Amino acid sequence: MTRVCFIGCFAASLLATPAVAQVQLSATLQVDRTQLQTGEVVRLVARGQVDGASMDDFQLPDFDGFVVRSRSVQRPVQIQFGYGNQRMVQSSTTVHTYLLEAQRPGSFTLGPLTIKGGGQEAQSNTVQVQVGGAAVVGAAPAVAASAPADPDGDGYEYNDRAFLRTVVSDTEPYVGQKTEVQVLLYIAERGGDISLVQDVEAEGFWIEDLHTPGSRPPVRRQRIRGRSFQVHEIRRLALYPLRAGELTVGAAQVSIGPSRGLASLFGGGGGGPAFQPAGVPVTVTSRALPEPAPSPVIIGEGTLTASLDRTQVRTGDAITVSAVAAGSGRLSELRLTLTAQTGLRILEPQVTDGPDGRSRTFEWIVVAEAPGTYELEGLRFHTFDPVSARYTAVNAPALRFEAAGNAQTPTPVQPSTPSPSAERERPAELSLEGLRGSSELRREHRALSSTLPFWGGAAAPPLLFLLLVFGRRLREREPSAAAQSRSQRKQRLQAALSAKQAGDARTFYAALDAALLEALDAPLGERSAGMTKNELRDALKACAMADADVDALLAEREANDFARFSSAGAGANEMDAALERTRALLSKVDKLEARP
Amino acid sequence: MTLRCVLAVGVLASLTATPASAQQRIDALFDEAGEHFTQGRPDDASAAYARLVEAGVVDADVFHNQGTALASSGRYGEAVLAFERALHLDPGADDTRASLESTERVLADRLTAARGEVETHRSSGLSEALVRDISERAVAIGFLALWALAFLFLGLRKKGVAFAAMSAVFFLSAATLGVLLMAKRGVFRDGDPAVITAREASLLEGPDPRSVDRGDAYEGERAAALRRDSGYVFVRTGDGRSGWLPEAAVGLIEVENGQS
Repeated sequence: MTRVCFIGCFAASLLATPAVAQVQLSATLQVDRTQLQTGEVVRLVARGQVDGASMDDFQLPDFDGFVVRSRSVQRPVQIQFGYGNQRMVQSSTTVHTYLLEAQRPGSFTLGPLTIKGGGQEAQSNTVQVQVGGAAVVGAAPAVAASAPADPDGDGYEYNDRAFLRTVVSDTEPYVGQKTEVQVLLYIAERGGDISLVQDVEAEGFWIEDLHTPGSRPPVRRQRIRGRSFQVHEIRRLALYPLRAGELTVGAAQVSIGPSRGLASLFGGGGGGPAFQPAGVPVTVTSRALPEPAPSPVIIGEGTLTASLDRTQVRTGDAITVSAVAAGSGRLSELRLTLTAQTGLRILEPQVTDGPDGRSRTFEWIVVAEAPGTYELEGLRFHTFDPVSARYTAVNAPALRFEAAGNAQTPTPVQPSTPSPSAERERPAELSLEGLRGSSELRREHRALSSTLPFWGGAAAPPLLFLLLVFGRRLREREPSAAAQSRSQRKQRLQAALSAKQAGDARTFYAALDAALLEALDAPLGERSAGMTKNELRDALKACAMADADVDALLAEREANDFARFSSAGAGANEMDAALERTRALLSKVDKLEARP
Repeated sequence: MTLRCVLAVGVLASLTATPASAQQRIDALFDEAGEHFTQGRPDDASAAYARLVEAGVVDADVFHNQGTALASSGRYGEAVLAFERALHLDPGADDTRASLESTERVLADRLTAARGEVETHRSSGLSEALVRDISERAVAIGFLALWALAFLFLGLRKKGVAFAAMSAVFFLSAATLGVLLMAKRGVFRDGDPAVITAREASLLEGPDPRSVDRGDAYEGERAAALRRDSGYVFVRTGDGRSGWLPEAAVGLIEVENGQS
């Protein structure tokens, strides 16, 4: 396993080796003329190229004797990957173009340019320029002898220890034209804690920060007046003048204090009070755009493309119109409009700016409210070329689509990749299930519930149920003969007890006899009061009463009749005994079967 | 004599042919509407379907097609009404329900785009929501079936807790279904269910265009039509707003015999 790992690492190193080994650096300096007079301008092009690695440093030469009138920087970086991942060819090129105005006569050596990359360093050739002594009317005043050599012709206050320099790429921009401002800190000593005390203030400009958050601009080294300085880019801003006239780019100020970090361990920074060098304000003269100025217009170059997400839609459906404007001007101010048309509803566009500010995407949701063929036009803006001072119209080609009521499969025209937010906020698309091809074409619809039979049928079950419940309750309430008999018997016995307490023997025995007779009515099925003794005996036997019980019952009745008219029967003990006997007989009567 | 015979035969023929030709005309109109739609003329298609409705056709298929044509024309409020009518006649139609929901989404987007933020309510009570997808006939059949089962159990006269519980369940279910049936019929609701079809309409204080404006009514919004007066309908929307709207701005969902 270990062997396999070694082989893998070895193979990887072999594959990686060519990319490292093929680093090549080249640096050149070129001028368009080598002889000129004081006040005249020479064009200098400094080109550095690193193949196989990125450029780590680009050290410009000291332009002693010249003032920089214009500067432009190009960094075309090309990266190409070979087959697989084993060959990576990287080319990093930086080209600085300067217009240098000679300040004093003499012979000047420009260069060399020093570049670093891939761990290697290369220097360019030097250029010898002869400047004649003839003064030129209107030329910029020569730099005072006491002043330091101006590296790029911008204002600063030289200091041996450190100073700030504000570099403005164009001091006479048009309104809206991009002007880059760099705040450079030249510091001779190593280390120290550097903090920005006063930021650049530029009233009358639209400002964009060109520093990528989290990135660290490269540090280069430059010699000025024979002293080597580290050059740190503190700020890099894009300024767009908002009005014509003289505008001031304010001075920045930094504080360089003793290092409190690891640098102090290596002798950097040292002790002592903080040093706070400040820059020099730079005046920018903004020029108004030539009249008549079209609208909208961006300064610089620009392109415009437009596309539809489909060319055929159903009426009522929405399509997405996308337009991408790209260029070098301030695109964040660009507003594009779609020309309104009858039958089309155009919603406000979703605008998305590219990450580098060099593009702006517009997405319109367009709803075709009527069928037909529509041609969308009106997508255009203008560019203004500051060099030629001319306007150029940038038009997108007209877009055509067809709206019909018929369901059709969307036909993609150009790939459209709307932003996630645009996708989220895109209106819902109409999705219909299509027509039904056949129908019974019923000409009458009456809701079932609107018919009388329905309500009759619906009401019948619960009504029937209620009737059943009600009838059952009625039946339950109707007293049975037995229950009625027991109730009456209970009343008779109660009356007998009352009579006993009152000492009324006649009533007492009459009540007992009545209780017995009424108890017999139920099993006999007829009133027993009118029966003779024999009839009653037969009837009781028919009810399966035991003969002894029949005799006892008949004897009790006779005893009751006798006691009703006998004074001996009035004794309390006798009455209690008669009551107990009657109760015993009653319980037996209750158990009798009904006479067949 | 010959002329009389011819006239008599003609009249007889016309009398016997009338119902058939009327049906043929309706069939032809239905086909014509479909043709308009297929050829990308949804406006003409919706007009043809409207003529069918005016002719007395009360059919879920026609309302479904009418809604589809109206939605394709961008007349979403009227499309919602047509779809609701189709669902009223055939609550189980999934295609109609899908089209209705899609139309409502598009309509909501249009309202939002026009007004920024819109909150609309669909007036639907719990009982209505429970039986919304079930036809009236199905609810009625279920209702009667449960009652029949309840009586069957009642007639068996068997004793026991399970039997009593089962009987109670049948009775309660039948009673509940009866309540739902009444809910479906609209016994518990105020007014007739309606849809606001006008793209822009104001709820007025009274049935007069000079009345005070109470607020906006939104296209496609459900409402209850409570009463009519002088060409205006008094409606109450799902969120409780009420006011008078012109009759043309409101459509009743429950259509019987072509009356809207």
